[in-house]
Amino acid sequence: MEIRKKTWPKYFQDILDGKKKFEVRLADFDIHEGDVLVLEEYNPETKEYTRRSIKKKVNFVTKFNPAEIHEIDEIKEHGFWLIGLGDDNLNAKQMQEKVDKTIKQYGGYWEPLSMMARITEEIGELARAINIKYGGKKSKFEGDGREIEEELADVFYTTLAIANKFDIDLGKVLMEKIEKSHEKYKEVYDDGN
Amino acid sequence: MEIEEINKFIEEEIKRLEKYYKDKDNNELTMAIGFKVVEEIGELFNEILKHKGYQRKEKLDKMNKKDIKTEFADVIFTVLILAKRFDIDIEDAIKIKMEEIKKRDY
Repeated sequence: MEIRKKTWPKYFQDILDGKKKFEVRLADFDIHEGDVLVLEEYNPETKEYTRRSIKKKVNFVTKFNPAEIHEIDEIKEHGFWLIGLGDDNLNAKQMQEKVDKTIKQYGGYWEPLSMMARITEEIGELARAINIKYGGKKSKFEGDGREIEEELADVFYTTLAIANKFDIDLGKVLMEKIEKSHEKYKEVYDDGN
Repeated sequence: MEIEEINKFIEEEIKRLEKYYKDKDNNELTMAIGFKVVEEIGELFNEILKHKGYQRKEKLDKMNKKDIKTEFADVIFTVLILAKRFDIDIEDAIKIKMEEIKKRDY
């Protein structure tokens, strides 16, 4: 179900910037997880819609009655905090931004073929690390071949850099790919159960 | 240098590898040898970047004992060893491919 609600400009901007990831609304309407919330920016001073809107999927919803938890006087005195719960894990977009910042700080982007050369080199190092650990290959000297995780991170870093170079939103493309291959495998493996 | 000389070298090399990897199953050994090609290709590209003046300082220091010349040899050797794993007569394969390429229009 799609639910449309007014939002004041200050909150609208915070949602647009990805800072505000929650909504608090009077529970005088029906809403469920999986619904789509369309927030339409509304200016309370001019009493007009600004015609900007944003669509968000509802992935969590809960209802509570503050009067059951606190004395009304306390609520009137203190109000409520609304606390956003983030975590340290960056999403793909944030990772690409970090890589972009680092690259611009150290001399800028290379030409596409040179970036391809770099990732080829990193793949080679990853192959070496895995071969030393699982392929029975002897390391030539102490500390030869870095940890697999480091080599993998190098490959990933270069992947993000290449995505930046070509203005690719890697997280988005990846999700589309997973979705697509999921559809494909469903056809192959789904036996109707 | 004749190709026989290279072939002999490769055969000895693969015997050594098979002895060294005697605990590995056949598929795994083929993979290990195959990834050696990937590793050497990677090192060749590292040299190419170096020639373009692109490489990171720490990598330059680590790598300067090797030069691009021997990297080409590494790539060729690892490829030849891999081909030997598949019992491929590489001389014959090259002849076939050369004929094919000559027929191409560019």
